[in-house]
Amino acid sequence: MAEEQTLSPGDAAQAGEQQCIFCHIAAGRVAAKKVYEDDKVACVLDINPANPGHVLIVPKQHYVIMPQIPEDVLQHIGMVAKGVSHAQLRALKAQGTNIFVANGVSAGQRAQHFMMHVIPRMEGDQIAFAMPERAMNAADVKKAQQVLKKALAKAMGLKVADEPESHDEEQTPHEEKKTAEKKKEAVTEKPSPKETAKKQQPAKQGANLDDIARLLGGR
Amino acid sequence: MSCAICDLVKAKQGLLFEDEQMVIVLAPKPATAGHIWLVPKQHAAILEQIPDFVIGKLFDKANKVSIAVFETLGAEGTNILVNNGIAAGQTTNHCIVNVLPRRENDGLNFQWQTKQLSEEEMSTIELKLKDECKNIGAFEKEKPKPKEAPKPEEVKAAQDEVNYLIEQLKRIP
Repeated sequence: MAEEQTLSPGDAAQAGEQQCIFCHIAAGRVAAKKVYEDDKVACVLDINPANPGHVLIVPKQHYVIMPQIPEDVLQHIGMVAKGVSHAQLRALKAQGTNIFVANGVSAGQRAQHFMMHVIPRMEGDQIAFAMPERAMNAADVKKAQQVLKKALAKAMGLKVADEPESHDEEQTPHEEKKTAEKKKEAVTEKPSPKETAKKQQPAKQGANLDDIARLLGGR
Repeated sequence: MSCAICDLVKAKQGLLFEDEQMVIVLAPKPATAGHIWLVPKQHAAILEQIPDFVIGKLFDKANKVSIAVFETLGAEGTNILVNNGIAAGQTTNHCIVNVLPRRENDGLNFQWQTKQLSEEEMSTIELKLKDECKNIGAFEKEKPKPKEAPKPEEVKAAQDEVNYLIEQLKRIP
């Protein structure tokens, strides 16, 4: 196949898709051991399995990272994962399954196409998905809870207005203490003007996601 | 037998989000900073016991949690992990979806040693799994939704609409 060496920036994204092996696999243009397929996903055996029967759930549409995937597709992937897990337990007599997503380079994502792993497990198979348990002090928990609650509501497109201290940013004497607390928080997390903006327009995806996608593309 | 996770759901300790099907909480003993649990409210020991649409929602919300984590905790990635069954490392008696914020050199390693299988072994597995995977597809959709939120006005409106359509049908000679 003779491909052009120079690409206009507009073509670059498309070229990425054309070169994506998982797009080819999902579309059936590259041979793979497909165990399930529907209009949204293809499930194939990983050629480098952690265990025999390791399945990759690959969306047919090209998504680099998870945040790009629409809600309905992601829900579908989840439901298919349950089905695949069930099939592994029954057909392969697996004793357990791991459902695993590496979302971003630092999470171990290698391919430039989102996929979900479903790995059949047997006792003593030496695969390490054990999570260490670390103690957290109460102050950190509280702080993380505050920050994450807000960010999660934003990510879900919910209103953040029910926060008790979020009514006014102006510093009146009796509110001084609250604002000071808030400032402390703001220093570690993000500048407070941004927070005000966030309250006014909730459901908007941050630009950070593009950065993460770029990070992945850079490798 | 009582379930520690069901108790946690009720106590809402470290609660970040709650709806009819699930709670999202900070993991009591986090593996990484900002480790979050998505817990189905209805007790289910393993994944297979959770209704399909709830699982769909759990994974969708896991994505939203990841987005929130990217934007606030300076995480560069997340792992979404379900340890389903004791052999898979499940330590609780209640199925949980984990979201683990990841940073470079955070000491966590989920890389696995790959196994080499012969073409024959792969083909045998393919056949076995393919056969069982035929059962995938009849997903339990979220039919409870209209039932769950039966706001009298909405129900009435829906009925009116149906009646209207029926009336329209009757009109056709």
